[in-house]
Amino acid sequence: MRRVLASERDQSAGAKPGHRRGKSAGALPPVYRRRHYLTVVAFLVVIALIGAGNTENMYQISVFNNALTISVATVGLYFAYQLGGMFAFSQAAFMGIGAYTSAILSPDYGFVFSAGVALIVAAVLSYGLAFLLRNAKHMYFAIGAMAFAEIVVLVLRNWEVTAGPTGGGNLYGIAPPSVAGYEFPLPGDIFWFLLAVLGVVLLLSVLLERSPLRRHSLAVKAIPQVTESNGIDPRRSAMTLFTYGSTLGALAGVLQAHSLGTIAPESFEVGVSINLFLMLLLGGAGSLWGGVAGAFFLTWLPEFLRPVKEYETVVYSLLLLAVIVLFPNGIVGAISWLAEKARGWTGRKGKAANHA
Amino acid sequence: MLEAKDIRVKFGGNTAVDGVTLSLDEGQVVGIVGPNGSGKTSFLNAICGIVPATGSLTLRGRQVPLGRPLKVRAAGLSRTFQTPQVFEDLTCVENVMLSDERFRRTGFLGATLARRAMLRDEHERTERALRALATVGLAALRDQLAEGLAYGQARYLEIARALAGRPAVIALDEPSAGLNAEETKRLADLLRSVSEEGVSLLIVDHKIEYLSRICDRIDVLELGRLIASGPPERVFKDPAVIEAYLGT
Repeated sequence: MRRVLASERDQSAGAKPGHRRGKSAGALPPVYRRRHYLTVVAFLVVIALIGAGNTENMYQISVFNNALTISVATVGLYFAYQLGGMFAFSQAAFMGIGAYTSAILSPDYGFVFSAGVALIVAAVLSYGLAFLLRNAKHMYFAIGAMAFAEIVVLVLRNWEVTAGPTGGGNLYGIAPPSVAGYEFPLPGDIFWFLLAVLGVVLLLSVLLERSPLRRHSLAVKAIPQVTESNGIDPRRSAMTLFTYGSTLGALAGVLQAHSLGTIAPESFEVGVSINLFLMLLLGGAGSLWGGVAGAFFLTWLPEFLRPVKEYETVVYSLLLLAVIVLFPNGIVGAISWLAEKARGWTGRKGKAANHA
Repeated sequence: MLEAKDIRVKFGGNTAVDGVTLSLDEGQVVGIVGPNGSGKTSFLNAICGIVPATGSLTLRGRQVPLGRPLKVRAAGLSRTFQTPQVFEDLTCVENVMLSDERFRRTGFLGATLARRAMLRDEHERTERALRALATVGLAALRDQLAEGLAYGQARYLEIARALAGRPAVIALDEPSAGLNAEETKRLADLLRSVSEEGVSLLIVDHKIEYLSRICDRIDVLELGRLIASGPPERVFKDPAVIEAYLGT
């Protein structure tokens, strides 16, 4: 082991005066100083306030519940695709794996155990898939993920366990979620449960955002060969993130099955994964919040377009085009840009006031 | 410290490196020169495990398999690239933290369950990265994204990243490319001070004057073969080298 450079000793940690190792976060990179936790809390409070006024309206709250469920899947996609660099066209299939596993097990084992098993099954399968496809890059990975998704849907349609031969894979009468004796029978109750789950998912995801895993994954995504020369296994972070993202997909499936009470293989086809990608990209793939913004935007958009009736599809498509053209970094990117502008504007105004 | 024996690299039917053998002692600075296409970068890529190669590599007395960049790095060989390879979406300090020699608690469990220990490790990594940035004179840019760096700064950032990994040997591929005379002189001073602290350097470059200043030995490649080796003042007067490399 080489000696410490004299120049290094002279300027050791003194680059940050007053820093005490392990106590202060001052020396850590800026990503550790961002107020992610506050953003999560603020988001949950806003959604809780809006949702609280609609819990009696069964239809409105069901749309909310759908947006919350889909948000879990799109946050997962953010990790698998944006950070992990994997074209996870298998996301809807993992939703299906989670949904069916939990739905089949829950009558005998209860919601919590079944959901837990569903997540473990999805984690093992997604890690296995990532391992199998570890040398497949970009679109080759996408093709592999699509093939996996097709197999999953075929199995759901035809397997006896999933009522394939008798009911085409459709399952009905799935019990609503219940945790530690608390039941959430109505959509208004399920709303609070889903909000809590999304809150936990976001907090967990923030922990990953504020960790070396993010740094490694961004580096691997940019120049994998160079990260390898620096001692970082490019496959490790990608496989970890794909597994985490896909497991969140399975969690979304579990939530969907138990909040709707019914599931069908069609809900987990590749087309659904493409929709999830659309949500992430429109929301802003560069941010953890992009998936959430996109899920809410695309879930609510058809509701706002009800008044235009027969022109709904045309207006919907035009709006999508408008978002893509006007906000190339997605909704969250546009909000960040506006916030930056506003800060600059108020800063100038403040300076002008000081000069005056 | 480093011993590469009979390294051969083939691309299809072409032999880029043809049985090159060289060694480095602790703190030694060795320059590799040769005309374009002589196999200098291919040789570096081979010993760093980036391209398939045959031969044998020993680092710190341990045999290291060729073609395995992770093993080569773990054995103590860092490198920089011909075109600076920095990660533009990361800050300078994060770029340097990527080369830490111990990747403990950098996965899912570190981010979640072992968080306190992970943060402790991160503080240590940050401090090491800051020391390396200070060594190359980039400490003030620690939190700046690497995408905004000038070419020369990106070069120094790469060197800082290589240093922070506490390697036994650093392989530098044309570190002076794109630097002006003043910057090249500063680079030479920096590399000399690094070697004086016990790090061996293997430098591929074209600028003979600065190589003569800092190198203990110059190895000359031509058409993938080692044609001369020795102290700079002797090698650059070797008629075979003058004919092959200088062309006069």
